[in-house]
Amino acid sequence: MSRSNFLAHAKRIGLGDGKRLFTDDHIELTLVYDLAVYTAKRGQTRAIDRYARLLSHAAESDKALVLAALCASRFSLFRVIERSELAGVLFEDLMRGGETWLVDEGLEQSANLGEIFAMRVAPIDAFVVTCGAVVPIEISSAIAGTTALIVVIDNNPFPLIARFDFKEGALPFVKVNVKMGETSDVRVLAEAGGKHYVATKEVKVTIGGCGG
Amino acid sequence: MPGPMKMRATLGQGFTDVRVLMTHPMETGQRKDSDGKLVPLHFIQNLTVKVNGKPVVEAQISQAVSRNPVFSFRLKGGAKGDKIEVSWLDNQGETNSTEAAVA
Repeated sequence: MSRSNFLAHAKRIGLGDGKRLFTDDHIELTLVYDLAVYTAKRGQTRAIDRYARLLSHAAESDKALVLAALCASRFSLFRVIERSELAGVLFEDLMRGGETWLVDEGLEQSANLGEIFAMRVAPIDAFVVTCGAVVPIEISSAIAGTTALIVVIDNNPFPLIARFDFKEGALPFVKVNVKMGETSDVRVLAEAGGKHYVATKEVKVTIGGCGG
Repeated sequence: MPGPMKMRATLGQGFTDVRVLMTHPMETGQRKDSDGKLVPLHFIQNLTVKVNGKPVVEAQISQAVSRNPVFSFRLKGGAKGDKIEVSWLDNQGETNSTEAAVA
């Protein structure tokens, strides 16, 4: 994606003059990114489609599934109709009509009947997802002799997420999805040779918005 | 009854990549159902990864891990046909396990 293209999209929605950005708010910037990634001028290709062409994930792999869903995603206004008994929330698409079943734990907990959201949703099987409140966390340790990794998320109701003990035969690596209701520092402690090492990274969460 | 598990173990460059999906509600104990009653805490507490019967990863996890969690682990080396077994135990005493051979 070129800088001039990004600035042109920012200008379209009043967040820039074509040369400079007028905002550093990350929610507003997310909207500019959304336009820049998922839309294109007539006769041009979308950035998401160009990205998809560059990659060749194995068919039916999770990555291929998600990429296909993102390519087919749509931006619209949605009104909450009801919370599903099983999981997720039923939305009415106010711009295109029809009902959409959205599976998103953040919205499931925070959405009220009748509320209206502007968001991008991506279809996966029978339901759609946003990219809000479930955050994938991949951790690994390059410290020799790492025997355990511990994950702590400061602002969660249950800050201690997990502890993984690695024995002979396993690499100190793990990837898992966790619930995050709000932006927080995520800390990872590594145990190696009786010592503890810590690494911290802030993870931003935008409930019910795409791109957190 | 615990739901199904799915696992895939593939050889990477110098390691074995293990991905496992567990069907589990991972209830936080804070969510209310449609009648306004709290849904009881129900989450996987322990999980174990074994290679050819030998435990290599033991984890304790909390209710903050997402519903129907997918975990990825990496094991040193490995060979085609190695038997990987993953099992879990939740706070209500339910347990489940699955096996796969490294492909």
